[in-house]
Amino acid sequence: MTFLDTLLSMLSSELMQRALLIAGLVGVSAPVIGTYLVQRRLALLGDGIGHVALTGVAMGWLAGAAAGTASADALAVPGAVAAAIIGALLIEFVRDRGRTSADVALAMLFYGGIAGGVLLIGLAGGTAANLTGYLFGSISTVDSLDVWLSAGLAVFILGVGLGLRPALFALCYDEEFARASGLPVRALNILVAVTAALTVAISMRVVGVLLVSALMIVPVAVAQLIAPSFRATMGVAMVLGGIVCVVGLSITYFHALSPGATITVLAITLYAGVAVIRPLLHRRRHLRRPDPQHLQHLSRVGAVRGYPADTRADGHARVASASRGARSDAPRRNTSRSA
Amino acid sequence: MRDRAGRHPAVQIDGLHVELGANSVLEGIDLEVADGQTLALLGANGSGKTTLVRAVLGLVPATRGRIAVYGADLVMRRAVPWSRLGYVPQRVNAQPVMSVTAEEVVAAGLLDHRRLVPGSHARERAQDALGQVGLRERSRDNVHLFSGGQQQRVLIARALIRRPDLLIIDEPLSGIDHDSQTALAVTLSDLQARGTTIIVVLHDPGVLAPLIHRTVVLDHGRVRHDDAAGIEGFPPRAGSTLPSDASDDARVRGTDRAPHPDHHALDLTTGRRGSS
Ligand SMILES: Nc1ncnc2c1ncn2[C@@H]1O[C@H](COP(=O)(O)OP(=O)(O)OP(=O)(O)O)[C@@H](O)[C@H]1O
Ligand SMILES: [Mg+2]
Repeated sequence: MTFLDTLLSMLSSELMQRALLIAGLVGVSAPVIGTYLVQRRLALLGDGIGHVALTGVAMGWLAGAAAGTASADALAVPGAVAAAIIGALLIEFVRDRGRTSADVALAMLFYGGIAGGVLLIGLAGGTAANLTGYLFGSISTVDSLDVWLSAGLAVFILGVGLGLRPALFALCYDEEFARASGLPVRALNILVAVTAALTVAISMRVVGVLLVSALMIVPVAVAQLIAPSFRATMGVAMVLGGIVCVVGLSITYFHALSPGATITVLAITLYAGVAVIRPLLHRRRHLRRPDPQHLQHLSRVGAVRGYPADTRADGHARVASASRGARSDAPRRNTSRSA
Repeated sequence: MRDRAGRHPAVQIDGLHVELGANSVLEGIDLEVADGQTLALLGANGSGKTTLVRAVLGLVPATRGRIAVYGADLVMRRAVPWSRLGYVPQRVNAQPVMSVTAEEVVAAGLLDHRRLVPGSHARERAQDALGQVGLRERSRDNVHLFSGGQQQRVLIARALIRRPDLLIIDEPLSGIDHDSQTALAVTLSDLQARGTTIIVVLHDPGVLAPLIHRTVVLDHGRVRHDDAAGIEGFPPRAGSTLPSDASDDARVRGTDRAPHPDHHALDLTTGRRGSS
């Protein structure tokens, strides 16, 4: 069989179609929230949430076993969503309160989440294979319900991440200024946390809880190397995320590899490649170029107000000269207004 | 207290105490800043100047006392007219993580409690605001590659883009070259002529001295000196730039943002008024 035949057979497999669709959705949406997390220096938040999500998966299993549902997996994703949201809100709460202990709190969630998950899956009668599927990704069992669920979550993530970009950028770039501008900082923080949790839940199927964060962060890290603005960073990261997910998943069709590991290694290879090539592409910028407009600005300043000569005068003379300056400015203002 | 025309002062602080951690930083501040006044806040390092202006912006909670901005108690965050306030912090808070253009930073200044997404023309307005601080040509450049003084000017543009009625600037002169200080003085003098209230934290009035109506000196969290003597007699705004009565009333009711006769900044670089 030629490569082309294999490719065609992959694309005609319904399972693979669904899997590729989910991978594309996940690949495009995860970096959106990842861009905000990187800007906030919370790149590891996704990891913390992912670990907690594993406990959620295990609880879903236990609940499923108790309720006697046909498939032990049926409640795994809802369990992960619930646990991820609770975990994200917990982390946000800790971050908001005491900044100094935030990393310790994150560490607790890491260890607690993973240990709790492994313990509970054992109690629920899960096998090592089940566990590996959740840890490193497995989409050999996706059905059309999974596709719809993923599409719904992706729409939410993209809606929040792109629709509220100005406010979320303001928040992540300079939270203090966002607060001083009157932005509803607490509500926006909670929104970011919940959206991150949903991103983890949707990505878990494809890359597994241990590598969820890689999908949110590594495409952003690559984009950061080349994009000239925040907006461009997000756009480039979305495109790269989509590409590595689809390509990585396709590779696992040809070789029996873990999808999460394949996608992550692909993304990191991309990072290394771009980091090496970038200096070659980087055009020299003229950073020290004087700004002609600014120079013109200053020359007018001197002419109009007589600064800084006035500033050495004292007390009321200074105030008077300032108001005189404003007055002498007035006729010109009027002309330009009527013009 | 309202003035004779029934207007609220820009800022009204009554018996303000602020504790940060174990420190008692502000100990009983009473201060009323009239609409249109330019107030210089002076004091030694650690005297509480930054804390005071941060408290006025709701960034640090009052342990005791009350702060009202245009008559709105800061405790009721949603009732505060945020779009009328502009703030230039003492330091750049943002971390240099990824490329962020000056335009993107400045456009963030258009947002407030009701506006989570800036309207149309955000980019043009950001460029105009950057023009006011002489950085129009750099608007697409990464701010993290700017010098400290240039970054400070970007933050000033981020406050100016709001067209604030109350501008709070924390130490705008430190680390800024002489020409840019002069340019800032002109920008502030334009704002003052339009009736903007300005609270500026300073160590040395320098080029801003001619603009200052009133000086308040803090010392260990208390007001040690307040030459409020200048309040009554502070020079009236120049005749033609004084808002007309009608628009002044509208402004007080908070209905006015656009029709203020002198609302558009005179752009000294082009001699034209900025677009709204
Ligand atoms: N977050 C904080 N926690 C505890 N103490 C603080 C905090 N921020 C400021 N302080 C203390 O409050 C006092 C006043 O600080 P503030 O920054 O208001 O001073 P400042 O007058 O602006 O000084 P500078 O001229 O150096 O800018 C200082 O003694 C400082 O140590
Ligand atoms: Mg200070």
